[in-house]
Amino acid sequence: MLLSRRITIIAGHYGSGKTEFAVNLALSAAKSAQVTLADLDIVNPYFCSREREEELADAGVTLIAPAKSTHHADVPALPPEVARIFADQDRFSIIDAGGDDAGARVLGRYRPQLDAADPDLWIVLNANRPQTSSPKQALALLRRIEAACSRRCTGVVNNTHLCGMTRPEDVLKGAALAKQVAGDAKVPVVCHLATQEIFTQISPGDLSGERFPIVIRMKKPWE
Amino acid sequence: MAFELWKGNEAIAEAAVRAGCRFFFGYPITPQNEVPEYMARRLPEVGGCFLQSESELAAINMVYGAAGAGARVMTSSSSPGISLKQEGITYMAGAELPAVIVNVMRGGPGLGTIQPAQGDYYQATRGGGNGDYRLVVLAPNTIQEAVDLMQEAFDIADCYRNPVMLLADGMIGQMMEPLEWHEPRHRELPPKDWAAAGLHGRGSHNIINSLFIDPLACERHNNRLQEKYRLMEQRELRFEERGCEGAEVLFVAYGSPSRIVMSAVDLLAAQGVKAGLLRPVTVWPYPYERLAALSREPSVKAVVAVEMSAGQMLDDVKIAVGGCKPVTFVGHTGGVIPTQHEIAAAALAALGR
Repeated sequence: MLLSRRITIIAGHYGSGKTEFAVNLALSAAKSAQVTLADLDIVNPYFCSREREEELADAGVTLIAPAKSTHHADVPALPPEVARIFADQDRFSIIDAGGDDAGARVLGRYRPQLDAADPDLWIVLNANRPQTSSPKQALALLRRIEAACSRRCTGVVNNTHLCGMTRPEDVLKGAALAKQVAGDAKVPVVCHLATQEIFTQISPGDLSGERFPIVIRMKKPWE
Repeated sequence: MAFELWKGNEAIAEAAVRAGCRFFFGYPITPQNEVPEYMARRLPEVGGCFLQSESELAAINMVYGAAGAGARVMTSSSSPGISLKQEGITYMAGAELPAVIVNVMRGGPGLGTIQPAQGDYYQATRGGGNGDYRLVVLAPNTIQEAVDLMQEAFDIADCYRNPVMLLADGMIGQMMEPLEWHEPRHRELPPKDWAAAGLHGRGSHNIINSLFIDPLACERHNNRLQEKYRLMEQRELRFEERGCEGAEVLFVAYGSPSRIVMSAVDLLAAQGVKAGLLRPVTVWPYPYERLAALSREPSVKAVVAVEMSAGQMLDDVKIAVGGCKPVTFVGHTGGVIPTQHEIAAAALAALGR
């Protein structure tokens, strides 16, 4: 299992694929552990983990999300159930934060609990996102997210894709970016994300580090 | 050029900057917030000015002012915010001021929802403000098309001295897609010698105004505007046809629903039913003539309009079809998105299968 600490925070740039990763991570971890996924994206109500409620429930993942009445809203209200993440010592919890430092700022609300729990904070990078395509830009965003949520980053996740147009070269380009950013931030590259179909086209010698195959869950209405 | 992954709203904002837009005035509203958010960071980098106004009314009147001074300027909002801007838009049409207005539509009426919708079609294509005026209304269905159209929109506005609207739905604004940046087709543009930007040696002031006290003078002004709108109809019409040849079912849809329709076309093909799509890229001017011709094709048994509204573009479909074939409608309101399966089922029902 990829998760090592009891709580793992997934953060990153808008559109980097945080939610796709968080949902896949929860579904994967649920095969061998009790897992809670907390959708704390209250900045933007489109393409959120809570849209995958049924699949998560079927896999036995406990979803914590904004109240039903605000599922489709962008009101700055956090679900009270988040407290369970810190109380349930026998479960793994994944926090899917909103995009950028603006989205990570909600975590400041839980600073005392997070300081006590000492969670992982993984920053998802997509080298095809123009605002985080250079190591300098990506590191600057990583630092802004750290400052907004008062936690140190503990790992970088390479999720470099182009939706349906993703090629193996994208993953490799992202691996180079992730390596540089992780090196600068003195943290490890946690894993590379891609579909199994893409991974089979990349030889072991070309990509070092853990591969985390994903199934695309956050689909557009015509997909 | 290499492909990059962009969010619709950000991409629309960057496209405006690349088209030379240096002024943005607006007020936040979901689902278009990433447009002003991006502009707030980006415009100072290129010597432009971003200003979050105290209201939508203030924003559109700032757009009026900057356009009157000859600047490339835009605003963006979502449905209720666009309603608030209608007064400024008709004033700009009356005063013949070029600007680009982006509407990332959400569910209505009133405050509605913040999910994607297309309930502002009447407002966009019929003139949401007072008086006889028209806007060229561009309705992209991919982020690539949104940036291509956005880059051209400023030229269209300057070419006719008229506001241009980019009509997107929340899905276009919020989703992520790969895109390539293209150099837009640049037009020969008339000089902005009408702008209220100083005398520059002239003997008299330029006056930007939409008030005509004398009814005959106002009608002369209107007649000139109407001539301009006829030119736009002749020159600015855009549409796309997908698989219309020999189609039994002719779908008509714009924006995000047109992509769901294409998935429904595949479902129907698997069942042996040939379906095609006519997609208006400009919803004003509207492809009446092409739709009229396609609907009269002998193979076409049914015309199916698909919208995220209670049926607004449907009126234009019926005007074009003119009763020659049955027209059915699939629509949802309030931010509910039609599914490919219900669209395919509606097409089969229209064929009596």
